[in-house]
Amino acid sequence: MSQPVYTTEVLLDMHTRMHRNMRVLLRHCELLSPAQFAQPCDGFGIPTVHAQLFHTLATEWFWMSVVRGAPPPVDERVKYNTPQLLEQYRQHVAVLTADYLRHAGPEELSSVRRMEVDPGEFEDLKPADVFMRCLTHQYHHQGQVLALCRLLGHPREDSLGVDYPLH
Amino acid sequence: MRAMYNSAALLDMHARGHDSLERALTHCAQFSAAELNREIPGFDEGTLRRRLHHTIGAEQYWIGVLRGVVHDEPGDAYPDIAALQAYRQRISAATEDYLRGASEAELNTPRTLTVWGGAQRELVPAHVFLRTLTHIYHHLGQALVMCRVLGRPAEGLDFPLRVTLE
Repeated sequence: MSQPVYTTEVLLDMHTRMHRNMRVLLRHCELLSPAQFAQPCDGFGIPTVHAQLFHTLATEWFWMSVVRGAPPPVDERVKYNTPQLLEQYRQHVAVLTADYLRHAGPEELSSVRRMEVDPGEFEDLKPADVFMRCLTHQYHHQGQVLALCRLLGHPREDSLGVDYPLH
Repeated sequence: MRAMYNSAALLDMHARGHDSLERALTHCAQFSAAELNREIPGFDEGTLRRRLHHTIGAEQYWIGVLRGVVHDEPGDAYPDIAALQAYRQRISAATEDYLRGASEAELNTPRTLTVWGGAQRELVPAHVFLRTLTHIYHHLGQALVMCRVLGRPAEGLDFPLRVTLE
């Protein structure tokens, strides 16, 4: 098999679609009361809807910082504590990632290079794989958020557009 | 500019997605039959076994749609993890076979496909494949909650960043 080549257009397309899902998920979470939004549930490593959503978005920001060699995001989960505020946070993170992807050519996206993943800790990574980690990570936590919503009395409707968009 | 997906990139994503899924199945092999079939509140596919079956079955369904066949295999045919692992291998091979033989034009050109109930939808095959990949992680996230509830949490099942998969 030839080496996979990732293009800006492909990763931007996936990024647009994943954020469309996240926007819908945040809208769904507006059905929860503030108490439900912050209510811990047993069995979840990240136990609240609020913490799950913040973690998902902050992780995308973190990995884009790694790829860009930029400082990691500060922990602002206390500030972004409603679905509406997290939508603002989402928009900011989405712009950061889209900006990186827009300026990265196929060689940058598809080549392995050394990145500092934690202070003083380095790994050889491919930017396209890092992006795919962000994408799949979002869906991992989307599944958990929807399970939490069900437990809290607000299960998803079949029509809720959280499946990866086909259009 | 319109995104043009290529077979090599989708095959790489597919291999990594199934690497995560196989590691999850291996982790779940330590559960007893009673644990695998225990109803856990908060999930519409309420047992770990049914959730894992649904994850694989959805990929079978969608790749079948691309090939013009609508599959619907009952979960009862896969009563334990060994059966689910064999099912995963079979479905993964079918997806790989499709992707390996798909030209760039096939992957990126919208065409009318027959889906559940005989309905017709105009879809782009590359997007259909990506639906199956993201669906794996959606349900892996939920399966891992079930593992935690059953007393054996798992870690390290994220999309692999290793440059070369073993």
